[in-house]
Amino acid sequence: MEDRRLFDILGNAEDDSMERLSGRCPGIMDTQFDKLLAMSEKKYSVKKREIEANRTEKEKVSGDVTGVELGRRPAWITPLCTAASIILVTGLVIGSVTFFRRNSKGGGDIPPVAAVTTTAASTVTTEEITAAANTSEISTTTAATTAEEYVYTTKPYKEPDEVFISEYYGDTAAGLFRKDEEILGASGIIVNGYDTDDRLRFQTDPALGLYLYDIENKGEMVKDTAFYVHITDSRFHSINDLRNYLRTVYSEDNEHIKNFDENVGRAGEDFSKDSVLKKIYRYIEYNDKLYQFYPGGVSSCLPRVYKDDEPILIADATDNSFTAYIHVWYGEINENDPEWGAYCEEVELVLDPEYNEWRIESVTEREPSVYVNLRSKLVYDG
Amino acid sequence: MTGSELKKLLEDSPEECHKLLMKEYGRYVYAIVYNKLRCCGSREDVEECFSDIFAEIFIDFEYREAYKGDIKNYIGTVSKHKAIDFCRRLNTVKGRSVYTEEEDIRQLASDFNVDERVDSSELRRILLDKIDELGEPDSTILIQKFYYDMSSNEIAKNVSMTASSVRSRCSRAMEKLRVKLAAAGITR
Repeated sequence: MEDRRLFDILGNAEDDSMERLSGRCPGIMDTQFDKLLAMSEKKYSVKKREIEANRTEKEKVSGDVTGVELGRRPAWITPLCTAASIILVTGLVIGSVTFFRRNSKGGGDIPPVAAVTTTAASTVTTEEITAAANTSEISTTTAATTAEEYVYTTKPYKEPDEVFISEYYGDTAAGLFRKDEEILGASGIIVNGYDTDDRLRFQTDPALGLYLYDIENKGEMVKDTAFYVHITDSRFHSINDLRNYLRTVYSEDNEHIKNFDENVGRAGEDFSKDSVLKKIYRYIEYNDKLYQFYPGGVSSCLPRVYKDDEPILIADATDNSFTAYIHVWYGEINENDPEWGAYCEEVELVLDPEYNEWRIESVTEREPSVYVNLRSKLVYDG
Repeated sequence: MTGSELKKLLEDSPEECHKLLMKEYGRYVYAIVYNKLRCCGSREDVEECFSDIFAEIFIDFEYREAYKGDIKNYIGTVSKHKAIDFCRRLNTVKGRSVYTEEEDIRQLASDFNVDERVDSSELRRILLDKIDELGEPDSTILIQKFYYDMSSNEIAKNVSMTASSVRSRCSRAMEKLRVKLAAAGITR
């Protein structure tokens, strides 16, 4: 692992290092070449059709041409078009980012590789794996959805009448928002350890289109197969433990809680060890042990970064609810490019009747300008 | 192949032109994409991004006369920009995963003692120099094993050796590399 990590430094290389690395890049195999060429040609055809369609449209708009006048293309048109393209692309990127981030809240980090441990559990596991792999029985699991399919509502933005700063509300929101970052990654709960040797293997319905790293054959990909690895984090022994953990941060109406049951499976109830999975559960309970879906790969999360001079803005405060507006950068604060990586997180909090403590009801990402505008409306320090 | 030859081929048979472009520059583009996505994407992501890039190159050749000028430079630039965009998009979808130099340095520093004055590009250069010093096929084996994340079987095909030879050469080469890095002030 450490050896591989040493080579991570070669990522993001500048041009001269890149040249040296590309010299040792393995050649593209014939079969892969055909596949890549076909993919590229397909995308090219789509783009070409769009370009041709736009041209036809323009010709229609301009009507019949009765004469042709030769003219020089003005020198300023290229920089102007370039600038316009950049603005357009930037808008698209920001729009996409906002959209995807909103949908990425279901979260779950691919577990950190550092947490991988090897134990002597492989004998037992082998039997389980063999049994699971050698069957073609279709399980009775219904909805062919995947764990990633959290449902999120896109809340329209309603500008609050007034905002204020409050140490109490601000600290409450900040504490829970920090915890939200600590416990959830892109597609699930961040666990402190798992054992790839203690794993389960399932065939999956081809309709799911699963094509993932093969944990048993490193470097290879495998189709229609899902691996689950045993969570060794001492905090989690059951699905209920996971839910209770989430409830320390989220309210009962929060999407993570509302969708929780969709993403968990219990052996005997939702699937059997011989099942061909019709959906991908994020977590499963099997033989009194807790496993998580293991898609492979390595991932880390961009940390949230805040500016010291940007307070959390509070709005719509009542005895049992309020909304916090937090200006956040993901990764790093980049003053030169304030639009990239900056967001205004609209965090709705409620006083949870079950615990009589504050919990996050929802988090919605807004454009960074929302925070800037609200801050200009700041009425008083509470 | 020159720009005018590519233009002629494009006029005669766009498919052949595309194929030739990919044959000539595919490895270069793949290396760039892999470099940017290796820590945040899967092999599928690399392939998606790779095909995005070539689709754009094909379009640029047809509509924007991209065959004029320094083709390799143009392809390198498109690949780099596209791969960075793809990485950003991927990061936001997958939970803001990121691959930054600072993070690399922190990760590396946790495993190896690195002189604080050495910046990431300098470190990269030293590492590549030391790998080069190992000579072939060891340097290729190490890069393909630890950087391109290939299996010993795959590497064995590329360097015309058996997988077991690759494995033993790899571990010996890694030991040698550690010694060389230690001599350069980079120690575990």
